[in-house]
Amino acid sequence: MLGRGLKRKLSDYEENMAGLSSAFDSSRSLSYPLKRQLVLNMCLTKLQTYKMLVEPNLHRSVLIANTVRQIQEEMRQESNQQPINVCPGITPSSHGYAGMESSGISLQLPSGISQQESNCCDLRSVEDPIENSLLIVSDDDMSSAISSILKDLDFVEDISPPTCLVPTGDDQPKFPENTSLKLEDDRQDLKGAECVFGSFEISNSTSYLKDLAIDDIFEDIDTSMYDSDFCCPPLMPPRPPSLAAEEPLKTFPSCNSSSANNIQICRTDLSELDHIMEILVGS
Amino acid sequence: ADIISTVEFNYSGDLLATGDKGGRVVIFQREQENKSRPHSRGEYNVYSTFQSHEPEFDYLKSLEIEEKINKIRWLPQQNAAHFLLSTNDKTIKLWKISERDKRAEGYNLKDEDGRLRDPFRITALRVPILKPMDLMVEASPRRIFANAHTYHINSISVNSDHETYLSADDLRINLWHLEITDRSFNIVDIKPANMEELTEVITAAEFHPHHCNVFVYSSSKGTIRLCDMRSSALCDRHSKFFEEPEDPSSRSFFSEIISSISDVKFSHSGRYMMTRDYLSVKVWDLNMENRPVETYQVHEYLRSKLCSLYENDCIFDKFECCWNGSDSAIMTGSYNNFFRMFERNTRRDMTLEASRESSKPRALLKPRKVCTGGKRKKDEISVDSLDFNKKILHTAWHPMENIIAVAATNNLYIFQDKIN
Repeated sequence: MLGRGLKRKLSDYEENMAGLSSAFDSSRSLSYPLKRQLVLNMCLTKLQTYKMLVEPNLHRSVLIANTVRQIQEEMRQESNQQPINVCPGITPSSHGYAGMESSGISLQLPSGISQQESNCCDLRSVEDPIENSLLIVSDDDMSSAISSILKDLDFVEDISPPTCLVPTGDDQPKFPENTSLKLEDDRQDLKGAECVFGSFEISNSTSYLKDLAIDDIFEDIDTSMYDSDFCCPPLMPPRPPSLAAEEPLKTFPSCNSSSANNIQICRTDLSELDHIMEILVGS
Repeated sequence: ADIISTVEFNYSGDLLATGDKGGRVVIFQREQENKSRPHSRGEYNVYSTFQSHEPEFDYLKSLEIEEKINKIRWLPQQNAAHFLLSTNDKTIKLWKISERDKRAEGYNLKDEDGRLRDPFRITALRVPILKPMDLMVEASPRRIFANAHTYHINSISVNSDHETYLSADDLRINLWHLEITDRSFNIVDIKPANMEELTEVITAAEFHPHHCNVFVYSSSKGTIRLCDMRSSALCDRHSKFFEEPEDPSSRSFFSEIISSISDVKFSHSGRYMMTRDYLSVKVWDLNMENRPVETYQVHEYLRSKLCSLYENDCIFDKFECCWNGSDSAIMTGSYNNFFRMFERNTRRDMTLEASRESSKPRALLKPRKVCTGGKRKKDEISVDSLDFNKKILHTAWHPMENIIAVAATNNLYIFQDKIN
């Protein structure tokens, strides 16, 4: 798609990479929520990348933010309408998205999709409750997609090592209970994200997205998995009250398993975030 | 050669200016008809080259300001010299391009090589004589309009009064007088009090070709607002609001992104305006706000590839569009070095390619076709083979004749109707 019309051999890696959105465009097998999730992931990745720029492009940022808001609004409406544990069984037409052709499987989708796949949970990022809840409550259409996700996630493992081995052991039996919690987290996070997505606010009007604000924005949503530049494992899991105790378990293993560099980055970021929290709380 | 970032004919069409990413402006001039060299009529040759903008560093904000020329607009010619406005992200400059073909000889106070003569040695006075010399084209900056834009300038437009012009960035539009550089009037400001509420930015703006009080600006949400400067000093409230209702059957996650308007141009007549969004060009009648009168699909086959195009950022490419002199045809660019022309009355459309391989001098351009599905015919190109790095964003049409200038990355192509 991006090439110049030259024939080239697709390696497995390339297949996976090119498969992301090309698959989205060309295949039809993925369900609507997964498609939506893919788009959301891409948006968040882009925003994260822009955050690292000194001067992000305002036009693009606004367009992407609007797309994210739109998706989040839709997800919120869905979660409001659906009772917990029930699969929404979403079809494209029911949302008027008749134009959607297909599905791609995001490499960036954190793992852990359904209870059926135990090894999914190894890679599941507990830190992303929105995706988890979405995926947890989705229907069996997903399971076919799951295996391909797992295959693709071979790549993801390099970036974010399966440090969640520790929590997953704990989480697995708790699955059904966690579902409800996750949905609540979902709502909370949606709210949190929503009102702060608004907060592309920055004191300096010229730099649209400033570091401090973005850290706040993404405090609840852990997007550090998309932070491919840092190759850093999830740092800042969101803090649903019930899971607060498990946090240290999650955070430290992930730091420990990385290289020294990453540990540095982990610690720096953590202290930065602490600093920001202090400012916010005013203490 | 650097990537060309803007192309513009002057009012007579004799001069063609291009700006590039390196801040340079190159002006081409059309050769006069010459009986001894009949084929060179209409050829454009380099007339002047100068460095318009340099990279700057904003120390206060720790930001680099790119020297890339975003837009060039010519002023109508009033004397022997030519004037144009060129702008980068932050600063607009008025350049004077003048010819010098004579020089003075026989100064009293200095020698021919420029050394000052000792005044006490001068015993007689003489009047300097003008002697012909090789043509020299000089460009000098006459005005520098700076520090008026917090955000990146995306458009400039000279008013029909030839005294004022507007400059637009993402959130604001300023009105300038060509003679005054230290002040500008802010005429549109869409910055919300709380940046959290920002959902829309200004993408392009242009003055009406005849009514000096009217201008339009387009937004990232696919809307166009027409403003009348007589109604109030701050034109935050529009006089007309152009928006086409969304087609629910083609709704997707990317609907808003592809509706963002990348260019708006009034027709020469002033009766219509044209907008370019990602997949189409729309012609609007200024008297009808609820929908365009004509819609042309530029590359509808990309609609099913939007996710990939979003991923590689191509979906944010800003294509420009232009009218021909009589407003009977419009032109815009696409990918793979293709550009598209639409004839408004016959509804005929054509896809042409600007590349070295496909254009030999004086050879006719062959129409191209993109195969959207099924069996690919000979000479057709399939959607998946398109090169998305070869994009034609900037095109210009001669104000009177059928001569077009097409910028393909760092190459400029000039095509014209075959003369028999």
